[in-house]
Amino acid sequence: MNKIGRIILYALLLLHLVITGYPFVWMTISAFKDNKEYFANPWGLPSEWKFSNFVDAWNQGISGYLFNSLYITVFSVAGLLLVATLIGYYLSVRPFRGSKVLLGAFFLGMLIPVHSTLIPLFTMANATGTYDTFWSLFLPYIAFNLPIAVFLSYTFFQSIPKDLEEAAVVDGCGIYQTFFKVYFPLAKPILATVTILSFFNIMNDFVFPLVMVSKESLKTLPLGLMMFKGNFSANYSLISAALVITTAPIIILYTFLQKYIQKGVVAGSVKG
Amino acid sequence: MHEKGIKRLVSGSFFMGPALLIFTGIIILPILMSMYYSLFQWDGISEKIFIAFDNYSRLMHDPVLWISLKNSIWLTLGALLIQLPVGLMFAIILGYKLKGSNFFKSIYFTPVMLSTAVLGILWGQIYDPNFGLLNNVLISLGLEQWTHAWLGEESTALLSVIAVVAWQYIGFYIIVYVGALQGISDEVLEAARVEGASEWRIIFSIQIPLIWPTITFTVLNCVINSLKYFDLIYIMTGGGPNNASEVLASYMMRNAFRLMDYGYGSTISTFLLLFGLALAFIISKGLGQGNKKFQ
Repeated sequence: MNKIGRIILYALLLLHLVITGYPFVWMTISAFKDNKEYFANPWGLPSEWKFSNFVDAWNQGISGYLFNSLYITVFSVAGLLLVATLIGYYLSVRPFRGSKVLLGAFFLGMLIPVHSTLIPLFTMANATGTYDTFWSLFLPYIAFNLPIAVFLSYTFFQSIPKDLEEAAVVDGCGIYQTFFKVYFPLAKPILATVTILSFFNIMNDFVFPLVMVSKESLKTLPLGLMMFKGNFSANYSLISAALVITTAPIIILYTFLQKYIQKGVVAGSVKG
Repeated sequence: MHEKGIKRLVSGSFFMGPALLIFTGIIILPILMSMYYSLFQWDGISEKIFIAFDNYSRLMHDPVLWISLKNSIWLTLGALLIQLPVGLMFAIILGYKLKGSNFFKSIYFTPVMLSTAVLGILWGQIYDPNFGLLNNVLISLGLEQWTHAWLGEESTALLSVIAVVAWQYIGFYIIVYVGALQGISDEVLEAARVEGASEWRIIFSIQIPLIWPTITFTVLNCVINSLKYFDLIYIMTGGGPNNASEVLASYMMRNAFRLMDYGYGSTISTFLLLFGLALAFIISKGLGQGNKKFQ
């Protein structure tokens, strides 16, 4: 490629880099200013790098929301992995008439907008007393991530030669032991993919906490941030600090795992 | 070696039971219930009143529903016409493996992983009419007449949100297309270059046709997700001003959970579901034809 062509391509790459990256740079710089300086000097570097916004944001609720998010996400992902591999395994080693139809139904599940289920889920939660409990987030998170997780684990178990199960049976393993001792440990790569995918889906979900939860101890970060913003609506630099605190863990995780994260998100991109 | 009789029943329920229960209870059953609710006038508290298809005729005559549908379609078109072409363009550029390509790619992907709440609040600050970055940039460029209350004016609210959605997801499509393009062997491209094919020719006659299945998938993915788009609308504009940025999902949420009109809310959500499924069907048929043509 000639020189001019290269320069144009670089210019495009850099332009998009600035458009994508600069808002985060600006957000981070703003978080180190006090609110007066945020308004007086929106562009420049802070005259003095202050750390107090981070401390305040952390103490005014963000730490709690972060904890809620982690705890709900970890349990939901763990539940999802177990439930999805169980059925994926069974459909793969004990296919029956109708098992393909079942897989197809799960597959169709990816097309279902969550909004089409929200009103009944809300009335069901109220009727069963699960509104504002762990379950009202945990179960929907498993359900809406099941299609892709079942699909990925089924495909994976299909790729394992059938001899393996026969060998396990010869060694005296029943169907349960074969799964827990042989197949589940083998499924590590697919467990990693499903974890990455569903982790971000669940961690970032906004709509279920919005509808299903009202007590502080269940508000996850996305909803918590909105509450935080409502409480401190005029304090822009404090809000920026809250945004930095919630973004930083994800960015750090991403820096170390980017290859896997990109691969995982693409592998599951059927869900988007 | 396979389990028989009662043992088979027990193992079947053990392995498939949890998934089936959760999937049916949380997705299938609520969809059917939603369709059922749509036949009633109901505020969630008092008795349901059966009104057959009255909610659906109300839907047909509801001007805001049509505004929401129109906005949803704009949002979808905006996503299709910005995210996919720009994503493909950058994927092709990254394919030349210029220095720093991996770094660029990593940064481009960052917004994809962040929550819409973070992005909505951040962009709310950028769009702020008085202190926002965007108006500041315009003023310092001497383009004062271009400044707006971006999220507060009817003419710019929806466009402003569409821009942020694109900003977030372009990186996703870049990664997907980069992956697809890597599947094309370098030999094919080299051979074409040796034959004297121009770079444009290579892009349009080799690369795009060869990744057509991926393009099909991204179109479908983009349409399905845009049609049910909700988060940034709710966070940034709340559907306003004056319904100017209301979309199907946000209108459904407003009717159900703010106006407590569960019957009509269910009607909108049923409409959203059926419209989405129909569109997905049509697109996969239509683009499937394209697949055949290229093979």
